[in-house]
Amino acid sequence: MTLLELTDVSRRLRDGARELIVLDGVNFDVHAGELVSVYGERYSGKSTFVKLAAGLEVAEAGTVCFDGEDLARLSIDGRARLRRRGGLAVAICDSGPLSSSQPVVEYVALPLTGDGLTLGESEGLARPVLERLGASALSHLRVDQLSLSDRLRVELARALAREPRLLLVDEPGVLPGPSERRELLRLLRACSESGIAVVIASSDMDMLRGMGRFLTLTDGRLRSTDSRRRVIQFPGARAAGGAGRSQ
Amino acid sequence: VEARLLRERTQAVGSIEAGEGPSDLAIAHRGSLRRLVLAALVERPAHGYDLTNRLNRRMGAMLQTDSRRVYEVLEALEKEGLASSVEEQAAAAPHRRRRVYSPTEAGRSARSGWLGERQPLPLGSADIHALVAFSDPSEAPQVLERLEEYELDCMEMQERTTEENLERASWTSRMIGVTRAAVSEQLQAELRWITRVRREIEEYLAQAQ
Repeated sequence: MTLLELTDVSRRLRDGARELIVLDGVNFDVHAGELVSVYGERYSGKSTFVKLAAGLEVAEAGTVCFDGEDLARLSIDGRARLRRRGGLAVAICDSGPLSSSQPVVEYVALPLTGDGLTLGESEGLARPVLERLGASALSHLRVDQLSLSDRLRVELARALAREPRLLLVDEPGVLPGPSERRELLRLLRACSESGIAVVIASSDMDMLRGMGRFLTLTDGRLRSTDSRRRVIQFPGARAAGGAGRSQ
Repeated sequence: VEARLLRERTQAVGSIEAGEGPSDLAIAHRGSLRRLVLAALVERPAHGYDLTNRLNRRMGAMLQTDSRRVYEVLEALEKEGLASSVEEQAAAAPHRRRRVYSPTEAGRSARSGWLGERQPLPLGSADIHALVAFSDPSEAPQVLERLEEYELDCMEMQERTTEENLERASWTSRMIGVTRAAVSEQLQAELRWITRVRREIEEYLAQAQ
């Protein structure tokens, strides 16, 4: 079942007098339980790709559908609802320090309160997730005092507390040691094995090793090895389809 | 990463020179040298010493060779009918004679065939770098196509490079992990290089219009 589908998605940004093509006709889909890794250098459009997929930004052209629903047709509140309890969750791990002085448990629980739950009830849901991530000890720390690796765990807990069907993770490569790396990869793989679709975007290919289908994003274009697989399955496809560039 | 890649490649080429048993990489480099010599001859007929200098200058640390190896390849190309040679007097030293090699028609068409040939390249193969180094603007479409194929090869290799056992942090598991990490690091360097070449070609073609 296709959970997320991007069709001919383009995004342009202004850089002074220049227009930058951040994403150029991107096509992408991900299915339930699938593990997908997206590699791109810094400023390759990776974060924009993740934000569009999460409905945090809207594309100028093309469609982004989650569970068959066109995100551009939803209001800002509608998209936020989808991210809160609608199955679509995003963890952005490299967007600078958090300015909030909230305790961790409240930070993780707060997005759950929008659907009639009290903060206390939401915190009750947040605690087991923090425990699962080995982050119980962080519960009462202020989020603006977290280290980068703790911040990553807290962002993931905040995303997983929403019981998502699709988890988007942007730039998880801020880990200090091999044990933390192993722990994170084990967790993401376990998410996928439990039926959650996981999309990880990173500028570190080693972070993406063994993380399922591999795509690259360079100069606004998303490339995958799908074209080659299709050519192998349908020998006439390349001749009929032209250059065979995959997006 | 790039420095390590270069060092490993230089060491691999060094093992050819030292006459050690051929590894897969060594065989790949031998094939590369043959193609390189032919490409350089198509560019301009030359004697072995001049060719060696041109190859080393163009390829840098990616592939360093010596005139003994280059003469061996030239003789092999001549036997196969891909090159021919004539003896000439050196202009600077009239008493010395030297053999100047040129590509035959079969050699020129073998070189064109090389450009259009789709073959999976081993990681670290100098072939793709040689193809870029000795290309000219008219060959840009073929070069871009070969780059795309090589990029897909690298991406498939990354998909096949699985993670070490995440459940155990034993010595062996850690060492397997770092060995696989080396492959991912090299693949990342290759993907960055491919992007760089593509941008250079696209910018050149845009400015040339």
